[in-house]
Amino acid sequence: MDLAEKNSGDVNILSIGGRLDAYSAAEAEKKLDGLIEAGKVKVVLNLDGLEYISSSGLRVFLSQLKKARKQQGDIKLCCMKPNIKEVFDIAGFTQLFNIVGDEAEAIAGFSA
Amino acid sequence: MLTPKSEYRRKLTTPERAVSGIKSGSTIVHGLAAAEPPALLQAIADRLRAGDLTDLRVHSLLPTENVSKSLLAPDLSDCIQAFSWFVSKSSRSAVKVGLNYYVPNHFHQVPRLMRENLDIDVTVTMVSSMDRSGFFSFGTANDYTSTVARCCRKLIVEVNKNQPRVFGDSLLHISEVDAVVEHTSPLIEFKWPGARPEDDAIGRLVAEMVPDGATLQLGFGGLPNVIALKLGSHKDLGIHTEVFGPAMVELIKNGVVNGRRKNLHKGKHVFTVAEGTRPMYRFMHDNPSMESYPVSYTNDPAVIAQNDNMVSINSIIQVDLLGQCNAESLGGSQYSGTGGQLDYVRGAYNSRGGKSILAFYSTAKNGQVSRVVPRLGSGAVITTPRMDVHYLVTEYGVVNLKGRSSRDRALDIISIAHPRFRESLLREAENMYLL
Repeated sequence: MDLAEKNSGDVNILSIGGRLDAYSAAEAEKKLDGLIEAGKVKVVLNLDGLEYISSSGLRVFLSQLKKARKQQGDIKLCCMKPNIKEVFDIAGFTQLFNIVGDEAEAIAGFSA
Repeated sequence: MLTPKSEYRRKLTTPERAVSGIKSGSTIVHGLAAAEPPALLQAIADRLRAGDLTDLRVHSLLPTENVSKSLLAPDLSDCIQAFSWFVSKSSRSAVKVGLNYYVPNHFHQVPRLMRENLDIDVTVTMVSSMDRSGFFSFGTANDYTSTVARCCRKLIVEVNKNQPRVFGDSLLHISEVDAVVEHTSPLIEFKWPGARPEDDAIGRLVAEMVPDGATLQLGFGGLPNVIALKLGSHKDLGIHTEVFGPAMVELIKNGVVNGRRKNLHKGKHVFTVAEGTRPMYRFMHDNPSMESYPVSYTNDPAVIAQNDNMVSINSIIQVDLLGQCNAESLGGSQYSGTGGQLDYVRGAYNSRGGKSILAFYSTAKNGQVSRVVPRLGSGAVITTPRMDVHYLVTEYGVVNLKGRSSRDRALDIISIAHPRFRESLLREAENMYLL
């Protein structure tokens, strides 16, 4: 799994690539946890490079979403590949997350 | 000394208070299907959503909407490890993406598996109103519920006056219960898909195989229900079944089923779980002919076989040319479960004069796909092994595979496939050196 972080104003953009599975979920969780605990609760996850997500990855996203929203923040997802979107659809997660097409739209969503 | 009424009053509480003692990390088992307790499940879900509780291990079998709206809701996926012992519409998607884990089992072994393998903290289930002697009835769900109710650390019951009081080994005394809540709600109803053109032929073929005086088991699903409707001219049938369903009520009311020729529980309609309509639940209530027992009894192949002329009727998704039957997987994913199919396939075959019937439509997807396949696909599960398969029935006929060679059974199975697929199946059988 590859993680890359950047900012756009007060929005934190985390790009996740490769496989987010039982082996890598802890690393993603640690990264997101660090952001949110530091008060960086406006988060965009750019999933353009994400090839695979397992239930462990889904659980990390959900638990971090709850933490962010508890602090009046959010996690917005963008650039999802069709196979990843299908997993979100099947899991019923599309109704839980704000999922948009590209990064700019996700960032703009925080100022709406 | 406490009277049942005073003990009831002492244990009566609200759903919120009843679940307040559940700790994070607990293992919870809930009542099956129509015995899912909506108020208790919602109270647990409320605690999870409030962040007051996490990391629960929840065990379901055929979860329905009361569970899918509460504990199995997608937003709780991060604080629950969910296990399905039979996959339903409510858990299928989560199972497909690994958010819910299927537990392979034979249904008759589930009480033992849960008792010996799970360290159950809490059981929550719905029961009937208490009688004057202090007994509730497990009603529609005896199955494993009656076992886990007695091997958990805490038993919480939701009393619903719509839950029928049934007889057999279905009673639970107030002294065995830790907390009682009252909540009246309509029981979940189960309805089958509409009739298909092939139903008439399959129903007629199967009905001809059922002798007067037979004891019946009808599986879960649309086709067994349709078949039951074709038995209206039979006499002296009996019921020893896993799932009690609406079509059986009609057979009882019409006098077709009276249980007089059963060897076990003469005159009684024996089941372990009831899934049907509200009129059916009302029919069951306080009806002394309705007896439920734990699934470890009703589905024990050795018990099933004690009824002469036992006829079990179940459905499958597909069969290959070796005679291996898949009744539970679709496209490589877990679609339903083994349930009690193999329990009854084996029990019925071992009964004197018994028959195990696996019925299926010859095609799927509007006739585009044959359910008879040369080989089961990658990821397909064998529910009934070829050694156990007795009768197979489609709208094109009946074959008996017992004792048949690989060659003969391939030819037999092809003979009941849809005619459009028979030539290609024969060619594949040759390629497999079966012919």
